[in-house]
Amino acid sequence: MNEKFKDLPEYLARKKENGSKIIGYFCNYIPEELIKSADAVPLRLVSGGVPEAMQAGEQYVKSYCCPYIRSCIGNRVNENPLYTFLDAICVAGTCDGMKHVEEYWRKYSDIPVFSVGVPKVSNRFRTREHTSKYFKSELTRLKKDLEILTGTKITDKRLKENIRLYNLIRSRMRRLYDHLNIGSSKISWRDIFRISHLGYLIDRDEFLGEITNILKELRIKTSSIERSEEQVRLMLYGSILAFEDTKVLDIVEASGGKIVADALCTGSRFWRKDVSIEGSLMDGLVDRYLYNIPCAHMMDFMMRLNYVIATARDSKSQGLLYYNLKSCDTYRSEFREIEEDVKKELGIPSLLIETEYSPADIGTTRTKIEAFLEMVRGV
Amino acid sequence: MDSKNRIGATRSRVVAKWRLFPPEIIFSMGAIPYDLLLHEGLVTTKDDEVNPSKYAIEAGLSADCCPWNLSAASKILSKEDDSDIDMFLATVGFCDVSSKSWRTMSKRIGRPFYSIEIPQFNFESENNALLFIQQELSSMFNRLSRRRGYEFSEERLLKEIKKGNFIRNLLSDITKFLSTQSVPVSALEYFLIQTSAGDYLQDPDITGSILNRIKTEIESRNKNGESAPGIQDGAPRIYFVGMAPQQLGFWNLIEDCGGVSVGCDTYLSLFYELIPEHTNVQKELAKWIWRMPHNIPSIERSKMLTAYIKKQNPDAVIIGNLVGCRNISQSDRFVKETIREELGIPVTSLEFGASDEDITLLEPHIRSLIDMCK
Repeated sequence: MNEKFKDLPEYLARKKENGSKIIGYFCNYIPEELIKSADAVPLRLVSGGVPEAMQAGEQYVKSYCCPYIRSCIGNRVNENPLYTFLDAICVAGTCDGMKHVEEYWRKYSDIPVFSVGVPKVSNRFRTREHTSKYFKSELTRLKKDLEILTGTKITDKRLKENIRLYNLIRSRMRRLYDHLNIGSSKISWRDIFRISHLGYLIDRDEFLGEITNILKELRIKTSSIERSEEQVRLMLYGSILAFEDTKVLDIVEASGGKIVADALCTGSRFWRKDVSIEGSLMDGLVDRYLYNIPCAHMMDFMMRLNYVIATARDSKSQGLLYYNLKSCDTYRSEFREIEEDVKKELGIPSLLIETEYSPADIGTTRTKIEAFLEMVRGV
Repeated sequence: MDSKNRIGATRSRVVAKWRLFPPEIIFSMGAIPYDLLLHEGLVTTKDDEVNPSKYAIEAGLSADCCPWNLSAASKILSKEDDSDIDMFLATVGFCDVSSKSWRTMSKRIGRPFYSIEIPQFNFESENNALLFIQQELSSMFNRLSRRRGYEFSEERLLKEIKKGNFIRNLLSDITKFLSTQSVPVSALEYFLIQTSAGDYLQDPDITGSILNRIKTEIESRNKNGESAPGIQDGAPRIYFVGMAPQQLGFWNLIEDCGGVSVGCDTYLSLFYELIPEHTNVQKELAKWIWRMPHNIPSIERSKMLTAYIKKQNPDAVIIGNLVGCRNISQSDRFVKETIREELGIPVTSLEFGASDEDITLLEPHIRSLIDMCK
């Protein structure tokens, strides 16, 4: 799969030559099924972790804006190769920062920008009907925009085929995640997280083939090395964890910790919940994308909390690592409550790590993580 | 300044609202709106708290988020059970921090929380958004009437809109006087006048009559060609856009540096135009809310703002950026470029935080802008 990632620029160039449009998007409220059904290539733009891109974004937004948002802009400023292929971009109206990303692309790029409004109060009994209706109209508008851009009609037949493909990908990725709870499994959370990221970029049909093969191999081979009891089992939750953002993961591993589960939007949450193919397909997309475990910019705190608790319990995590990008207030403001509730329900501690894409805080972050692991071990 | 104490004496329920949420909506439910950021977020000399954000940070808000929200939340949380607020009504869709801090306050002091969403992002989907806002309004009225005993009626809403429009007219008239050669109101006075739009300082009748008296006095100054005391003749005319500082001293600084303030857009969204007084009240209100300047994406907002700024005949524009603000202050560059292109006058950006020192440090910057205009 790593080869396929290396070949990504060639693959995208080939697709473009054959007349396909390359469509980038940021948050996981954009149904890839629609993009693929328009015969276009979806690319989830989760590039982050590179200080240069973050700094380049500061020409357009302030340094007290979240580093991922700064990078979403800075990657274009610095001509990140993936960004140079884009024919259009889809931006979901999620947090305050994402609004500025949309505004930047509209003003400073010459490619079409398709925005999709995401209602933040969606998961309330009183609002469910009209929020679903609103989101459906937004997705219908996106569908039309994609059809005009690509000249391909998104028929129900085509959409159904792609929903099936994505449902298969999602279910197989969930099975990969299930392997983390098997003591003798050969695959680590970090491997799966890397695979997840490749799934946002490489050809999705090929991706399905790759993960199917990995699952087959895992069925045959199990690790002869039993799980080390010395490694502290940690669950990871919080702000978006970008592709190149490995600082905290490296420190955890070097300090004797082991991530065994996550509730991240670039991790398990992305692969959760399938799209129904019974009834209206657009309704199915609304239900999947609006009512999945919500990002912290959405008002439904309880759904997030329950998912974090359930995931930590199922993975037998000994601690919760709360990864917070600096200036990401939506996640930051919920840390205290999550910490209290996780402690109350599972009796495990949480550690807040506030960081950005800079090596400046490696020392302090390491000290914090080491102290946390020692505390969990009871040293 | 005393209006913040009025809520303690009222018999009606007090609803804490976000700055730019239209107050008539709360009045129409028989409750009193309370502009929480204004009354609890201003940094005043009366506060002897060493760290004005202490309680908010302890409750979980980030120490580097918007200082208006931090100070306001901290003051509310410090009162614990003594708060006069009966409900926190969060406006979701514009500022993530405010809806989060409203929720935190509600949870920590045990008062109900309600959120209403105004979709701000998607400029092209006006029809979808208008329908959505209408449904949000109607479901809020139904829910709060049935569940919490707020008494809402369409007639009452129309009546409150009329009262609100009376205030809006006065604020627009007063603003017009700032466009004249001899500016009859000082920067601080105008800022304080504008703040009444936030909750009509809790009583539209009293505030309306005070604003009327102010307008008469300003009118008389204007007829006599008098400027407000302390304003120099021919002083460069400055319009302020963006996040207002929490320190009232900032407004005096413009005059201390030899300039004159000809307007600010802090509360402009609440009186940018009148709310139509039609029979289909909720539909018209939804349209008005959707077009409120702060709800519009930055580039379009700046274009809309320039029309208002132009009327005030400014020589320069100051954009205020609050360190920690993830919203308005992040669009500084877009706004600056648009205003420069549209008006062709100097535009400068200021950055400040919650401390008095931050404001003092702005003096050389403001002075050089004003000297340049001279």
